[in-house]
Amino acid sequence: MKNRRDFIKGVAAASTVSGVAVESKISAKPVQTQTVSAVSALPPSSYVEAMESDVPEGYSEAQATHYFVRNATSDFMVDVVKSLGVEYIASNPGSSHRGFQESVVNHGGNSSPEWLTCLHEESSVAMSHGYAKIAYKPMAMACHSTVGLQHASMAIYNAFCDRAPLIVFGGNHLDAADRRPGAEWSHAAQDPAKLVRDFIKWDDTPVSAQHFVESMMRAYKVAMTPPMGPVVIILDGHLQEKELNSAPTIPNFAPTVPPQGEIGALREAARLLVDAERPVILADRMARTPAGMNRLVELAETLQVPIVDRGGRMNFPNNHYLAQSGRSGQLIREADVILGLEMYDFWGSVNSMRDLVHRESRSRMQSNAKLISLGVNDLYLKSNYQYFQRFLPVDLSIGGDAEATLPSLTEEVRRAMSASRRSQIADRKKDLQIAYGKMMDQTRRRATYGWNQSPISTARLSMEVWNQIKDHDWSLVGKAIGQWPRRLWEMDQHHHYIGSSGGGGVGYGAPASVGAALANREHGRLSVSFQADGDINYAPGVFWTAAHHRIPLLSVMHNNRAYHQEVMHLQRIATRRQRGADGSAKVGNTFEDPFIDYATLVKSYGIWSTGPISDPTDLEPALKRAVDVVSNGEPALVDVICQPR
Amino acid sequence: MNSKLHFFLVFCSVAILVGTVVGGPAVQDDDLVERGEKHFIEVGCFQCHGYQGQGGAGPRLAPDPISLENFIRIVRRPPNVMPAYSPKVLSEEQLEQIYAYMESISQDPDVSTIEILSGQ
Repeated sequence: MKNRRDFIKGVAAASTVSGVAVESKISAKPVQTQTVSAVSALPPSSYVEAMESDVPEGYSEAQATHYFVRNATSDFMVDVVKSLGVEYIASNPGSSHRGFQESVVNHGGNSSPEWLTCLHEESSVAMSHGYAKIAYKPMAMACHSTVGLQHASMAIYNAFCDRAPLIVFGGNHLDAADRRPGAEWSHAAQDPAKLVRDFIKWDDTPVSAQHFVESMMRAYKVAMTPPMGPVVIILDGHLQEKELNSAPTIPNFAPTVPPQGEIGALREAARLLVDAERPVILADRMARTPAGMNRLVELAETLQVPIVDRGGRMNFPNNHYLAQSGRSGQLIREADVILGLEMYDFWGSVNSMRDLVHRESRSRMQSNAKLISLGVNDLYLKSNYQYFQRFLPVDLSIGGDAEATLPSLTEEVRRAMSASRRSQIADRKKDLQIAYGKMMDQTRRRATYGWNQSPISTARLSMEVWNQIKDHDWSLVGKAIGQWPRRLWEMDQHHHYIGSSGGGGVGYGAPASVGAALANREHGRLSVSFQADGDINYAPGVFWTAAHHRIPLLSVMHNNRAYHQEVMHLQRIATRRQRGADGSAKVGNTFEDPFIDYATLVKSYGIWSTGPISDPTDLEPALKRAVDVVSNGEPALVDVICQPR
Repeated sequence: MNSKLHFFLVFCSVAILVGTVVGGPAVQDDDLVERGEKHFIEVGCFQCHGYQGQGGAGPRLAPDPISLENFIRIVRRPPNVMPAYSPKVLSEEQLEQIYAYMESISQDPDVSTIEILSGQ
């Protein structure tokens, strides 16, 4: 019988599993650039080996079989997870995955994967979501059967909308005849994954060890193939805990090469772009890795085309003169060709619909402008949840992963350019540099508005934080408060910004920041997050997880003491009905009487904290102290009373 | 009353009350300003425009606000996504008080004087 140690060696030799392409150079080659991660299965200790193979002293074989399991199936499961390079499993404990949890800790040595203690399933999933955007590979979360999966579901939806790969393990007890009375019944389901099937890419319920390994390989491939997304594996409790009596075989694993756009279509796109006088490129969930950024710079410089970065990912360095998101209205209005790359909402970018009594949409572009879309939106679509936004008729729709396709598109653009056209296009550079300079001057001027006021302006807070972190290797892992960091911080590395939640489900910010900070930790980066007060209250226990696992993260509160977006919505409706002059829009939306003391809240979780700060001149010393704490490997939080926006 | 005459009377009353003319140096009535700030917060102007009218989700209103005439016109019939505030929600007098509050707001520092913005 082939034991699982041999299995691991086999996988180590055969598999090339890991994250996605991380290329520093632009290349026209297909993106088959997987890095190889070391398989991390540890050799068993003598104690573990004895437990696995020997009949304990004083027991007969029959007694040993009655009392003990020598070769647990969940040990094999952990070996499979190790072989895939999964480094962490975030989880609340639950009896339906106890076999698996015990195997991670005692069989796997609690290392790669390491079991992370979480206080809410939504935190576990959102941590995995944030982690994937920095690590470029999935981590896993484990939840306790139906109750845990229900807690996890909102965060899974965010990850699905945001195309974040992650693995959800859900416990269950399939065999009704073997369920203990009580929780094993009320927490079991015929089909637990049904709950989230509308917003995951794939799921399975393995019923044997062989089934499990094949499902895991498929799950990993599916999660990591653009459009990426969450996958769910249901772990049957009986299967986890029973003796492994079979000899599972090792499937060959090869990651799927991301799909690329068809060459004829790219040629046509190149022709349109080269012939255009005022082209513009919109990029949203485009740069999955640093390679995506480099490739977009290459295309933009070849065409001298301004980039509007919609911020789904860190797509383009904001200190490049072609980064002109601040001019998006004018650029779209004047464009004759618009290329959309992995757009979350292409329709909403080139049209407007105002929130008035009678809703009317209006095009924001010229009637004869040509639209080209390049992305994977059309390659995988669900029906029920309407995350896909309004349908936009385009002139050329290219199905393919934009990051993988850009080198080919750039090559076709070069081919389509005559020498004279190349020269004409190069002449755009000067005007674009001037426009960039004016845009930046205007942005700096706007940042001065309310500079010395209290509550503190979001621009002032943003720049005070920048002043403390700019000399570090930093990573913004939370929201870009008022978009000021994306406008005024120098962002030219992919890890400088991770985008947002995807589905807009509140409660993503704190745990996703902790997850991204976890991935940044091994690089020694200073992770910083602007933490919304509405968001932190969903599951603040994730700060205990950060403290317990020594995850360095600087959280700076954007404390405006309300769900301010909702205040605005209520005020809008009230004025529409000609009432609400008495401040009634605050009802149900504000955190007053009493105010919430966030510094004390996180202090109780073991986090260094200070605040609330309402005088802008107090920010600098407080932030300095906090950065020192984080630089020493601990999390810290600074509570700041801010303007609403 | 026709709207032009109405505006003229409002304009004059504000000028007298505030002791200034639009665009000129402001000498503020503290009580008027205080009432204006109260309305500014109660009806939610600050949500989009910031507590000091410095802007945020919506455009900057102060310092140096647009003319009172344009201010009232936009509040009543906003050309964009801003909700319309009818006289039932905000009276003409209250709008004038809000305007006085906008006028009372002091100038922001110049970019060149802020080291972390100017990079100097």
